[in-house]
Amino acid sequence: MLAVGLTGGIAFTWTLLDRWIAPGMTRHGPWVSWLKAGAPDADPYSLAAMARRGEIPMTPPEGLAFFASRDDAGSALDTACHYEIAGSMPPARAWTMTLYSPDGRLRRGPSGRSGFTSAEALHDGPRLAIQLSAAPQPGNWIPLTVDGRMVVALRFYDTPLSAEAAAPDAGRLPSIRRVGCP
Amino acid sequence: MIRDRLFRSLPFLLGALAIAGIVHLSIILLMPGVAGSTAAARLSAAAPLNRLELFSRGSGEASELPFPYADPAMVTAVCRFDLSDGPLRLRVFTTDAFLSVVVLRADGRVQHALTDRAATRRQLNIMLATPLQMRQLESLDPDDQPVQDLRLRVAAPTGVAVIRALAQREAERPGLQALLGRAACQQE
Repeated sequence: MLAVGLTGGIAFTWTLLDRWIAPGMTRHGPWVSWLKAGAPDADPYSLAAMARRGEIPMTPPEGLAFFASRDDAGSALDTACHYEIAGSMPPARAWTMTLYSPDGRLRRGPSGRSGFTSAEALHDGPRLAIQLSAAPQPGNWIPLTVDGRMVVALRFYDTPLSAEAAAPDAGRLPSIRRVGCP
Repeated sequence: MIRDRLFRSLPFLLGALAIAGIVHLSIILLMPGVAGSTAAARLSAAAPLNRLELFSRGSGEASELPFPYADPAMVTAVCRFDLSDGPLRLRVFTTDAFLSVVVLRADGRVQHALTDRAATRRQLNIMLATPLQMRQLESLDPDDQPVQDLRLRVAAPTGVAVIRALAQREAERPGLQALLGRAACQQE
């Protein structure tokens, strides 16, 4: 009984924190965020998740960070596929989009690029589209090196969203659409 | 028959579930303290004490940041501090670039966070002090002059201050590295 309880408890906790499904976490379409992790009154789940990941959380005065490991349809993000991240960005002084491997290391494409900043991206009015693909794409393109899963981070620095952190408008976050897989 | 077996194993299942619940809550509550893998703990192993250490890039490169999910656009400097021998002065210069200072406790909990919006005349003059040192500082303050620095109270004497500036373009990186290089982190 003790063995089953111990194993079950550990396995359950690890799954909860690694799968990014836990109290303290907010979900907006494919994007998840530990909104309170960087606050002085962070909840135990957020703190445990940050400790497990070894990450410095985004703090409320800095802004908000969102992570996606799946596309809009719920399939895991695969570097072999072509994705389009499109939509309008919430207001912020700056935003960055970064690709990571599932263990949090930077994923650099063949060109060394691992993401975009708001100053680098080409905008089409307020709308924005970024292509993630191993094959060259016109416009904003993040070249992918094909080697497994990936996580996309979207960070908004100095954004009025922080103030209303409890319920940022999900409709304002861009969508992640799978264009195709070879 | 099946029902009998279910009834007999019920205490076992409930017991296992209770233990699993206790284990789960214990891990969640104890993890930040014992993980040793919190960003603050990792930085403590990598950064010198009471001195500013500049990390040029995000994780994944030669001078790699010792924590995952770092934003590569952020030029990062770290100051690990121990206030046992006195308060610490942290002076950071700012430009038009987004800049933030985050003070972490060893267990990874954020104690203070501020951005370049808190700067006066393009400078963040921060004084980190324990509650006791804070009282001493306040008793030494002249009555007729306003306090010039941002005083931040830290509960535990040890921790890490992380200073980050956002390079929106690669071309801005050298300038921001020089900017953070001019920052000071010294015991008073």
